[in-house]
Amino acid sequence: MNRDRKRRCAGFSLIELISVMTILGVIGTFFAHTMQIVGEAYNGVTIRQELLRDGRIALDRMTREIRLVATATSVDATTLSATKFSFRDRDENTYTYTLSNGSILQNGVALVDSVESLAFGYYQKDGSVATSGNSLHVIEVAFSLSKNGESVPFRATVIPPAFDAANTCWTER
Amino acid sequence: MKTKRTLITNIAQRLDRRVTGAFAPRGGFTTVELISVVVILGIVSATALTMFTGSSEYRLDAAARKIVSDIRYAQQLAMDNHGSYRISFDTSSDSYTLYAKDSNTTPATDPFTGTAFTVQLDSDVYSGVTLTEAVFGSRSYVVFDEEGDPSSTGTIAISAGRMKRSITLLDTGLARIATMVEFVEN
Repeated sequence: MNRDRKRRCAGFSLIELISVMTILGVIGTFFAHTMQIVGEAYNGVTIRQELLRDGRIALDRMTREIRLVATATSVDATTLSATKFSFRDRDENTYTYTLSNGSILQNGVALVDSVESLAFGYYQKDGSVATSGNSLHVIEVAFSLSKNGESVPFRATVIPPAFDAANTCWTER
Repeated sequence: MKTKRTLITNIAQRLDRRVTGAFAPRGGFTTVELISVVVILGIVSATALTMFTGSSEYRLDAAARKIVSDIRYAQQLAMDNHGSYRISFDTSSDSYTLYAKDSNTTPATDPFTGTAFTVQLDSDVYSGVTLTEAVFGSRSYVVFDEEGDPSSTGTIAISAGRMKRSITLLDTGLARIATMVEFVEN
C-alpha cells in the first residue's frame, strides 16, 4: 500500500467493522453466559440456605414438642397416619401436625412452607410398625422441602421420655 | 447547497456512499467517528436500562430476606440457649436491633461483623429502603421464648420508592415475605 492510497482510504472498511463486531459479539455471548451461570448458582445457594434454615427450625420444634407427649393414651391413635400426628402433653395441650397445601401446619398455623413431602413413621420398641398408641415407642419425622428445583430432606427420630419410662419401668415388671 | 461538514454529516455521507457509491475513495469511517457512535449508544442504553430495571427492587428484596433471616436467627437463638430474645424495630430511624439473651437493653453480637446487632436500613446496600411498618400486636418489638414461640404475630412493611414489600410473622415463628410487590400511590 503506497502513501497516496493510504491517505485516500483513511478509515475502516466494512469488512473490518463487521469482523470486529462479530468478535465482540462472540466474546460478549460467552461473558453473558458466564454471568448467567453465576447468577443461577447464587440463587440456588440462597434458596437452599433458606430451605435449610426453615426446615431445621421446623424439625427442631417438632422433635422438641413430640418429646412432651404425656402418655401412650394421650396419642390420638386414630391419627397414626403418615401426614398427620396428634397428641396431648402433660398440661393437656393438644399438638396436631398436618400437611396442607405444601405447608406443615402446627395446630392450623404454618410451621414451614415449600413442603414437597411429609411422612411420619410409627414404630414399636422392637422396630416393627406400631398401629396403636399403646405399642408406640418411636416416632419418626421425615419431610423434604423443595423450591425452584432445589430440594432438601430432613429426618429425625423421637423417643418420648414418657414412652421409654412406661416401657422399661412399668410394663415389663 | 453546501452542507456544513460536521461529525454527524460526515458519518451520514459515508453511510450513504457505502450504500450507493460502492467503492468510492474515502468511504471508510474514522476512529473518531466510530468511537463517538459507540459512546453515544453506550450513554443511551445505560440511561434506558436504569429507567426500566432500577436496582431498588433488588435492594428491597435483599432487605426483606435479611429481616426474615434475622427474625429466624432470634428464634433459633432462643431455642438453642433456652432464653428469651427480643428484636425491636424503629420505623423513625429505619433500623432494628436484636438484643442479647433475656435483655432489652444490651444488643446481641452480630456473628458477621462482631459488633452490636443493629441493622440500619436506608444505608449502604439497603439505601433507599425504608422501614414503614412494624407491628406485633400493639408493640414494635417481638420476643421469642425458649420454645421458639413469638410473643405475638406481626406485620413488617418496607418500602423503596413506590414499591412496598410486606413480611408476616406467624404464631409458629415462620416469617413469610409477600410474593407480590405492592405499588403504592404517591
